Amino acid sequence: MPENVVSAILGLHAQTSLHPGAGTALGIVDLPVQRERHTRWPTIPGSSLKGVLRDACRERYKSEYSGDRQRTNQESPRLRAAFGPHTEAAGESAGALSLTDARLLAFPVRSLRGVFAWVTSPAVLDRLRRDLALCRFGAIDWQVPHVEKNRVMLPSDDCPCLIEGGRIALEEFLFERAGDSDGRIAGWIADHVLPDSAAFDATRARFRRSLLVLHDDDFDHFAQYATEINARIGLDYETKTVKGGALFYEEYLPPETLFYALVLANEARARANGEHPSAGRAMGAVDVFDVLRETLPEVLQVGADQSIGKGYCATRLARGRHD
Amino acid sequence: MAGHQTLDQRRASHAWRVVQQVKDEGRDDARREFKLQAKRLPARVVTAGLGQALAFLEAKDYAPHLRAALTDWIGQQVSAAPGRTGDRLLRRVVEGDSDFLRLATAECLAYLQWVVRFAEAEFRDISDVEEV
Repeated sequence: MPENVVSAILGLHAQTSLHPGAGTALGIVDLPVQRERHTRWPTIPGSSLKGVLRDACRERYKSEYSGDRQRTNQESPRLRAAFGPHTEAAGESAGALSLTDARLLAFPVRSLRGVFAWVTSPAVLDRLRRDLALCRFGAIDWQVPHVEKNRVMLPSDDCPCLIEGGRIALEEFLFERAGDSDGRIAGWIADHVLPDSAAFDATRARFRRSLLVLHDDDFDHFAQYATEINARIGLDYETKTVKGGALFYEEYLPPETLFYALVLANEARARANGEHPSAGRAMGAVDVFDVLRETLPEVLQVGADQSIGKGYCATRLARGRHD
Repeated sequence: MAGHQTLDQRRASHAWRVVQQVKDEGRDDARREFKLQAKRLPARVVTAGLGQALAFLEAKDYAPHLRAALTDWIGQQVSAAPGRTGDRLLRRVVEGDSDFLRLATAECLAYLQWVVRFAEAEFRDISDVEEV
């Protein structure tokens, strides 16, 4: 990563069910969530995230333009620098803020005790470590553990999900406790990816005791099949019965799902007034990053079905080392 | 021939034969039930688990063709399926280990995608919803 880039990870913690839609994809239901091609794990496209963040930024700056969203979109120099010019002027320069697709970090699964647990896996944690290196997070105090199939690694001895005999029951599957436990993984994630406001104190504490590391295959099963499926219908106005052809099934990721995306801020590609950068000093990477930092809302609505309360995610922005 | 087909092609070919068989029997209520239950089954499997979803179909005596098709396909596909040849899938799920349940669940859902698609195409005249 070049020196003049500011990097960070953006944590997204689902507060309500989430439907990052796959558009025309065919699946076991009519409207599946979007998944990575190679893992089949849920993902939120970087393009969706960028659109949502641009909208939040525009809302934040619109007071400078008498509340006129269109003018804000076209004229705000900070919005243009970070997210790029509005559509008609898109050819002038690229935005200086880059976002990756959001990756799944911890998935909530029903537990016989302790209500639910977050599960993750060595492959997920390995990818997180690589991403943190890319974002120059410096030394990380935990290693990617090795876990056997049908085994589970607990973050602490007081994990609320434990049942008799050192076992954990997730959905209809039993897992034996593996010898070691490492609370540093859950601790690091709680401190850097979950929201840091006081309202999330209890959530972070729960996470520290309830993040389980499973074998990749066991994790994979939950990430693919432990989603919510809702039947949705349309009613005939006159008869109040289901309209023909108006039954469909929609897949949601459950509340408490945890994602992260990488954020990279470059030096702005154009001067604030639209001139070429060579004509004068453009906004630096730190200034561009600050646009995101100061406009990022505590809660972001991501994906479909906003009007039925879906997709509300609490945010956390954790910046990598920047010397 | 089958050796040169992908797994997904073989799922499709099996599902196609099943749907044609239901179609050829020609009874409207059987076709309706097959389409309705096939469409609802994936959601039930994900929500309640494969065992519960199959037990529900048995308890209601719904869609015997669908249950037989799943038993036959999983019996062919998931090696080391517990129980005796000819045992129905529900029994194998109940007696099998968790690995079998995971594999059978994934395979059933992949197979059902074809069954649902073919049933929708072949029984287009039948409404998706139950008569009220």
